Amino acid sequence: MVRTWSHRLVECVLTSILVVHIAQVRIIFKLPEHIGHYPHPLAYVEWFTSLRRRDPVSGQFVVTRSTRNHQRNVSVISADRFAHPCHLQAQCGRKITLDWTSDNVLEMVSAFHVNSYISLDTFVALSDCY
Amino acid sequence: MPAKAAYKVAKFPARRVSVQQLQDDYQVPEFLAALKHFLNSRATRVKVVFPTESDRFEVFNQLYMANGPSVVTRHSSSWHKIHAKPKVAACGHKAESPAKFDTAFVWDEGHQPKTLLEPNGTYLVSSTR
Repeated sequence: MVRTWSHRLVECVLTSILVVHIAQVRIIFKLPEHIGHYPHPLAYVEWFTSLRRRDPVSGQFVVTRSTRNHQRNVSVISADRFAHPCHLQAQCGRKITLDWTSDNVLEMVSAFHVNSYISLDTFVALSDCY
Repeated sequence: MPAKAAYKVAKFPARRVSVQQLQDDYQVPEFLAALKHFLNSRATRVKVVFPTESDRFEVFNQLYMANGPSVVTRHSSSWHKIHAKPKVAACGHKAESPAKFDTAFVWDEGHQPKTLLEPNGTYLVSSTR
């Protein structure tokens, strides 16, 4: 039987384990053969902070860029660790800056709401999460 | 009950690029350091071959992720794309293409489902946790 990532996430939530993080994917690549063999493609990712803080009004998780030594926190990971696409919405104040576009908003904004309304399964997976 | 999901990448990579191109086009200044850290953490031999500035890497523009039927609606399985592609300048009649670096949920190390490689190049992921 094929099951969704939300089934798996709910299983993990029931055991109170924080199991997913959010990352922006920068490169999907293969390791050159002379360096070694790895069974999956690799990805260079930039991490966001953990799913811990919720917005008091919308109830959505709020995340920011994770940093290390004042630089973006980055890693190379195996492609089998990707669970599901994630939609982030820029957190805005009273005004929305006109400079923001879908192409640059991830670079220009410091805090984001994790959009749990993007799909029913995402809503189910995140609604009782943590 | 085992859970299944799958991912796949294109049969052939989109391009083969140098470390310098990766750092410039994909804005990844820490690429070599992060890759060395990954290789070191998985080293099973005494001698590990580390990448250098002169290496070239085969990169993909996107990864496809399969999902099982919806947990709510029971609608059928679907594929989702995760893009990781740099800006491409206009060329001839071809318009400029903006960079697209998608965001994704990532399983913590050790919590990802187990995987099997299918003959068609699709990675089946099964979980018995």
